[in-house]
Amino acid sequence: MVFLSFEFYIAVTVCLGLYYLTPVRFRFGILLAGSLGMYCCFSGRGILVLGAGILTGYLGGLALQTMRKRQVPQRDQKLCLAAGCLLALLPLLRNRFFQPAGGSLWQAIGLSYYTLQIVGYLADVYRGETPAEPNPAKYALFLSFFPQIVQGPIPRYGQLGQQLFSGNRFSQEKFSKGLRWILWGFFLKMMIADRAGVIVDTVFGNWEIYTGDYVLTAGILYSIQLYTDFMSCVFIARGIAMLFGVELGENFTRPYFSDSVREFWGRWHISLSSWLRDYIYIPLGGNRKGKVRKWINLTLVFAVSGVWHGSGYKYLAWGLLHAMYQVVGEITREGRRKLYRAARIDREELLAKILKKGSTFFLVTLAWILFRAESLRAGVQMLISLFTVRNPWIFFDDSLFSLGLDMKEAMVLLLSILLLLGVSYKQSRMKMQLGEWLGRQHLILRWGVYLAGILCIVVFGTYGYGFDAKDFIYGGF
Amino acid sequence: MGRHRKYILRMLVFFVLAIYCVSLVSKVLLPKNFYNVDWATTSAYLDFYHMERDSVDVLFLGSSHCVAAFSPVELYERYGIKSYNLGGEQQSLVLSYYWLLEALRFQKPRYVFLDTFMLFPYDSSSPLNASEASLRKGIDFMRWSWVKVRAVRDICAIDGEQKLSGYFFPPERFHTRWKMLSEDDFRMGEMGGHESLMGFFPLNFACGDQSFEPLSQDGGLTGYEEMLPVMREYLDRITALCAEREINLVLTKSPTMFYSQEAFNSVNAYAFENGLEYIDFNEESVYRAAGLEFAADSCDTDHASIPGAMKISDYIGAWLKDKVPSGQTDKAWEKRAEYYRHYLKDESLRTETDLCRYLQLTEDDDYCVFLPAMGDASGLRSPETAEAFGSLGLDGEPAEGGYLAVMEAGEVLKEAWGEGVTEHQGTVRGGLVRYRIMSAGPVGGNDSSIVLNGGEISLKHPGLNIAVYCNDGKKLIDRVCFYAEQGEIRCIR
Repeated sequence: MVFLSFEFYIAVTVCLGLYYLTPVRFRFGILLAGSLGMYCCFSGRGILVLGAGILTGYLGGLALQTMRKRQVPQRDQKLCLAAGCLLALLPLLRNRFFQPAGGSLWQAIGLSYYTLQIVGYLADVYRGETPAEPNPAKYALFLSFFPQIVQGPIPRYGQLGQQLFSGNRFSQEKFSKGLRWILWGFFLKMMIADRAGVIVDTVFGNWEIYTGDYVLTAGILYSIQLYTDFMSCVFIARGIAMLFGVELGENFTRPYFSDSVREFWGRWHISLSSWLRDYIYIPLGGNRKGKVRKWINLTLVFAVSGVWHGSGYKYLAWGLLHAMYQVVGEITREGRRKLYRAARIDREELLAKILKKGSTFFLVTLAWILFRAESLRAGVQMLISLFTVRNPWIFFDDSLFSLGLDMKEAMVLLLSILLLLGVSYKQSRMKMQLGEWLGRQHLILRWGVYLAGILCIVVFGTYGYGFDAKDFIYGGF
Repeated sequence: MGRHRKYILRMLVFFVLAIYCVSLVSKVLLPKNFYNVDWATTSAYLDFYHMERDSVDVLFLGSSHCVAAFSPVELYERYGIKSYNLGGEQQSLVLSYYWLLEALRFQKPRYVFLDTFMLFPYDSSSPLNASEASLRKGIDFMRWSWVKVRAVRDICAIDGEQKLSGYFFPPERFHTRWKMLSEDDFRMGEMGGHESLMGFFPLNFACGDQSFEPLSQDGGLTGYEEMLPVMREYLDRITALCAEREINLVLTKSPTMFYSQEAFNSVNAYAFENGLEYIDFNEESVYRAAGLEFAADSCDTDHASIPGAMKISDYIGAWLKDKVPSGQTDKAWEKRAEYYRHYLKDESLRTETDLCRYLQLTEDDDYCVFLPAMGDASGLRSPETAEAFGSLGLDGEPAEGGYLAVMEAGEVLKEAWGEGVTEHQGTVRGGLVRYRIMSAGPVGGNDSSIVLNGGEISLKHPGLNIAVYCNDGKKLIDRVCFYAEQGEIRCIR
């Protein structure tokens, strides 16, 4: 996959060199050429779909702006917006609902991500929140910027545009930050995500024979795998962008520390959640039209989210399950408060926090089991077995070491997860990125940590012969 | 740019430091076969680079058949001929070619002996006729140079399943090896500097197979076995290279049960066409001239045993002595000869069946000797054994009850008797090897135990169990049990 290939980093290095050697005002051209070139190399004919998307977004934006300036009737503007959005969504819908056999053309890299970018851009222009970009090259760069096209975050034109087009001067601080993020991304991917994936694949790939606590274990590990895999890609993307002086938004803020599923969606895949909120939920009325309407809107939004993630019924079910969590959560909120009062548990004390975070994580994990299962039927069967089959001895009789990871590998996984937990906890306390804190420390400590990270990945990382590093999970969307 | 010069410099320094650290780690992760294991290819290749430039007059290349048959130390000690054996297990002709090229960067041999076994199908699953493991063993410790770059490029071109990145960045290939790291990996500097047997591996067994029939020199009527095209190509390259550098190439083969007449005919024809010598020890005249007896001189019907290797090396030495400088002395060969003699002594220990002679042999500055008795071992007592025990510095001999003794480098670390269970534990080899020894006579339950670094090595047979560990070789040399039966002292291994 792109972010793990040697050729990609050669291309990035060449692009970096050219970028900073080029006069500032022409630097965006280097980024554009590099982005389109890399996209061609890694996605082949998918460039045609991207090209169509660029055209749609660019022309659509100009048309909407013109219509707005000329005060064309709202109905016509909405028609134009709808047409533009539909055109932009066509490839994605075809991919989702018609299972095309056309290979790379319809399964272009980043299709899901840049489609939402186009729709978001058109909506922002329609609302007058952002001016249409008159320069087609700049618009093309906004859509194709290579670090974020693979797996997001899904940027807004207003947030990203200026950074891409103005040409950034070299900043030592940003460059170092970018490298730190890339290293952390590789650590998450190679030390945690792919290693956890071994057990996940074994259990989910043989779900008929792994039941009860096997499902629970694999579910928890999948929660971790998905998180670290996705986060690793985001860190690498942000890191590479930062090398060019471009700041991409954060996409995760410790989601598994959430106290509720609602809060979870404020911390998980933030760019997608905010996109869904701004372009579907709020236009549908949000929570302004009563509770029932709010719940309907919520259900629709999560149904869309489910479909966005994949074309099977399980994704839809996953989305709907999350909608149900939030609806039921709201309905039962008062009841739960009474329960806490009856049990004399202060909602701010440690026990309450553990209960809230633990139950949130559990609910999210149940949903991830559906998400990861081979099919909806398999997912449902696995969930049923989780609640009906009790086999806790597997945690004591070495059964878990027959799932693909021996004890040493499991120890490395556990220690890496604990490290991640520690970093996350520390960051939540410090209210700053640990990387930034590290960046302010003495050179010897910084270099020691960097070297330790590199060597850990080299020695313990899951890569190479017989252990192909997996595709980034979210890169398939 | 000027403003950022310091930053760029720091980045470069860090980059170089990171590369250095990663290369160190890569070396640790590489599988190694030092002198403390069988087929010590790593030691052989690393030691080759220690030889003085232009000091080697004869090179041997080829498969394990070559490794077991040609002893540079024998050639040196008997004829003063300086040679080196760069063979290896399943050494594909591709590797033979590139090791020759590599050797020519440092040496100017007059003769190159090439074992012909790998010219014919051996590993049909590999385009290189050899397993990837043996290829890696054979190339990973070649120094990086244009020779090695070309070698790995060829290997990967021929075998599409192997990747260049796995050679340039070994952790990619050996990424799980961190789970198997041992002392060898962390002391590779020290172990890499130890003398080797110069590529020779002695095999101390006799196959006892009487059915071997030597081949005929004139076997043309039986036909020809076709050489593998890739192997033939590299044989041609070796031939051309030797011709270009005015090196005498000799094709050779040690006695092997299943080496066919047709294969002999093919190689014979090739040698004739290219004006090469061909010395095949399967062929009757050479077989007889070397005084070979297959049953005793072959270890496993494929490889020569120690006596077989001595005869083969002697034959080659006699053949060579007027063709290359002989009668030489050289400190480098002397050191390795000393190591070789000690190695042969280790081998002789493994076959010794007389208790007194055995105890005498254990008197060595490199040996740690563990002696726990199991049950009543008093039947071993005699004036001769008492003398043998005494010469080792031990106060007594096994008695009716438990008895144990531990010695290192001739010094008695512990000697104890006891009615019940007698135990002792400690470390040897500078604290690097933990041992626990236990002896129990009839009262204690008739038991014995020698545990080295967590592994049980005692034979646990009634009698005097002995284990000998070599501090220099970092390995267990022998474990045996001497016991009395019907008035005689017997041994079991």
